[in-house]
Amino acid sequence: MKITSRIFILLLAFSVLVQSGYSAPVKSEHVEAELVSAVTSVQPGESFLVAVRLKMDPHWHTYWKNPGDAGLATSIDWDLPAGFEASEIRWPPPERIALDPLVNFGYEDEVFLLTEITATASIVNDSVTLRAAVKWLECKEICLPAKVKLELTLPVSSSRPEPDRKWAQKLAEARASLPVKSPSWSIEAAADETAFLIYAKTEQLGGTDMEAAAFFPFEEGLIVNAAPQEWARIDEGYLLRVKRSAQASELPERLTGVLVMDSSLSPGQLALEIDAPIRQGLSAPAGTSAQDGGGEDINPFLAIAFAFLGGMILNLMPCVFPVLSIKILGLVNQSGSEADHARKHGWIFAMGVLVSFWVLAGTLLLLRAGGEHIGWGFQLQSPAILTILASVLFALGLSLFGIFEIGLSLTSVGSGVSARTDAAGSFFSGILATVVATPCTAPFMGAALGFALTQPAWMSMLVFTALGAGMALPYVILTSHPRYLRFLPKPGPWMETLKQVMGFILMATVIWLLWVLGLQTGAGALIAVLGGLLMIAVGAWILGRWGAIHRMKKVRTAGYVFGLALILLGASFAVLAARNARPAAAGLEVEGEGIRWEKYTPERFAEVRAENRPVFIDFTAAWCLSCQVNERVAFSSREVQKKFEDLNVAALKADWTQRDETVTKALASYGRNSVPLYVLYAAGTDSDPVLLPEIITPQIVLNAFADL
Amino acid sequence: MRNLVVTALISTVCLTACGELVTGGTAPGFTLTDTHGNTHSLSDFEGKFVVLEWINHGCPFVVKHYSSGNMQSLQKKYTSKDEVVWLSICSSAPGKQGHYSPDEWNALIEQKGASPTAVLIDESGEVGNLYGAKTTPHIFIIDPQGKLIYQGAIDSIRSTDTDDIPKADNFVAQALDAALMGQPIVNHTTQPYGCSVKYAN
Repeated sequence: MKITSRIFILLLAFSVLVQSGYSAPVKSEHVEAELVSAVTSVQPGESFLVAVRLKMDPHWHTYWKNPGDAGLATSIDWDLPAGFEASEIRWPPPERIALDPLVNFGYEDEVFLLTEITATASIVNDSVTLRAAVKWLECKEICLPAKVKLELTLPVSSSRPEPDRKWAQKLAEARASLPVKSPSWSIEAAADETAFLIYAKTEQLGGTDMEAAAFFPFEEGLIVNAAPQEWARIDEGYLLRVKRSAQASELPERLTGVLVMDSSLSPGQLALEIDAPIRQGLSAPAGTSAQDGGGEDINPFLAIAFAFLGGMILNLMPCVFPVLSIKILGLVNQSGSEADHARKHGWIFAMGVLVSFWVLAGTLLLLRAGGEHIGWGFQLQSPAILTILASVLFALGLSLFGIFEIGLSLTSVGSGVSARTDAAGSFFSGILATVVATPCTAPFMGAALGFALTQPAWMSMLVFTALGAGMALPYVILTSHPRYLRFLPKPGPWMETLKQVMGFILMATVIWLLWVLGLQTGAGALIAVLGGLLMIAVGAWILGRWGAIHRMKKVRTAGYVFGLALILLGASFAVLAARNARPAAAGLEVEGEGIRWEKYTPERFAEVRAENRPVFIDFTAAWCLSCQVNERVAFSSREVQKKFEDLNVAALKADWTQRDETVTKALASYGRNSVPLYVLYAAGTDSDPVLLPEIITPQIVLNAFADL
Repeated sequence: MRNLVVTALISTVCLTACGELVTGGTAPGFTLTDTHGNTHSLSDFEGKFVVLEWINHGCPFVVKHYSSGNMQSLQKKYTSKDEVVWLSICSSAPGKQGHYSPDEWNALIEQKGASPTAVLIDESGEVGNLYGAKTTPHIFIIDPQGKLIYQGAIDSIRSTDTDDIPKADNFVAQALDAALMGQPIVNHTTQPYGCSVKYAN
């Protein structure tokens, strides 16, 4: 009995001496804790690595320094021999632990909470004992607090310590996994209204393949922990988008935390410690390089300037032209009256333009907030809106032909129209100009609008305001400087001719709108809409014939009532028919002989990329005039067709005529939300996309291929 | 842009799934049944301060504040004033920790000596999600005009130790005292601490 216990003690002492210091694991309900050391002895004056090892039961976890939505960080309270010092806990990178709808940050399975202990230079004893009171919260579904006292006794030796056979390797691995400030990665941080953007850039991008990443902020409550984090490859590295918490009162100056990136390549995981100043109000860079090597952020002032310029150019665009003509008539009309009057109407028109841009922008922002997958020009993607627009333009056209006269008095030159109706007319034509103009903004404004939509609401509003202001400017100038008005022709019989010519232009616009509608809804609905237009025509005719000023009051009233009723009936009929139509099965007819266009799908895109072929994507829509012109000009060229054939180019057409989520997402991946967009990839699976300009010619396309 | 779309999507999802209220905004309305079978709507308490306390008696953080008597004394102190209503809300799903039948609840209230105005059962987690209640405890205070004036932790020391209670700043008492005196609340948004709310999966 006595002998056995002696032997036991001896064996114990022996094992302590040869193997390591003496420690014993302590088990809470679901976690085993132990104080372990990387070395077998303590050398006076030197530092050494120890760790609190927590071994969790399956599915149980403990927490990181920021526990996330719930939980509690593990804490270590050291009780060390005199003169010894302990570092802060060196936390290995945590994991995201989801407990729907919450996400916590912590550790499952096993974790080594590393601490560096520095021994004093003068140790009198043969051995030292490190004591740690460790507190943690262990959770699976439920949580249990745990509090244990751990200790570790190590012999003191003046010689260099030997690595501990059992733990040295594990601790070295844990140390290697610690978040680092790597010189080969540069981290930049930015913030917009809703998110933090973390750019991880590296010179050796080619050698990396970071498939996923997660950001763990040191500060609690800074981000929406449960929100998915969006990881994307960009030009010089990667970009992580992390949703900001709306509750965080102020934007911190610096973003601090840990970025954990997972790679398919060895060594698998890389954790970077982040401490970067936060740039504000910057958009995400386009994930691609544009042809001019651009793709950099657009300066806000530049964007506003471009928007303003673009707004002015809008007046010259084909789809504004019909309205411009109405405006010219309006100007001519006012040049007959007094200067003050003209100036006033200039401003009212400008207000009409601005208000409709604001309404449009506001709607877009609202829809954006609602997560609707829409883009600029979206109003022409709705059959109902298209039909309303077509009906209005059709009625305006009839009026220009002289079938009836409307209160807006576009035609009643010199007739005594009240100032009030006139003001409404100016305001309304401002709105009309804007509504019809929107599809034309795409080619000029693609970048600026994309920029605006990635911006905080106020910035988007500014850009839209600049657009509207630009568009209204020529009109305001002309009306407030009546001496320029003098250069406009005087009213006369020629106006009737001009007016009727304008009527035909409006009818052409109606045809274009109906063509777009037909592509969306098919022939049946189109015929119904045309029937509605006929009713509008009959109503307009009744209005003009019996509602005219020279008729007796009774007849006039009846004419008004019947005429207007029929117009409204026709318009409602048309809108209902368009709205209830089943969408046409196929989108745009694939055009351009010689080039075999295929429908764009992400799957098909991935396939052709994998086949090592060059890829050309045409983002288009039936309602996009520039797209149609581009396609006819560029893709009908024999040379271009031959080039496509020779290089075995995969030609993908992404049709955005109707709201299509896939296409919206694809556009977005190039930083755009408008068509046209032409994207070219060289053969090879890792080639970067080249974006072509929005107006393309055969030569531009050929040059782009030549540059590959 | 893609990120934008994703963010927009997330924010929509979060409208229903991971509510994030901003202090100073209007507190969303709700109607729940209490442990006695009476229904209570937030609008019933217009004109009063309403304290919402997310609760789960199996959670060690809740245990900390109930075994010490801290929560009960807060409830007693403030509900003794006419202008304060205290609602404990349990969002534990059936079968999960902290979910009890009404009878068990009434026994528990008795046993703990708790004196909230009512204990409301939210086993679907709907109201918890609406408020973005993350932890037990998690406290929200709504002013007589229906504005959210405080959300966050019960106090400043994140632990399960009852010893920490006297050392901690009690954010809820601070907020209520300030609000009752018509003064601004300094710490109006704090990080809640505790166990995760045991929502249905």
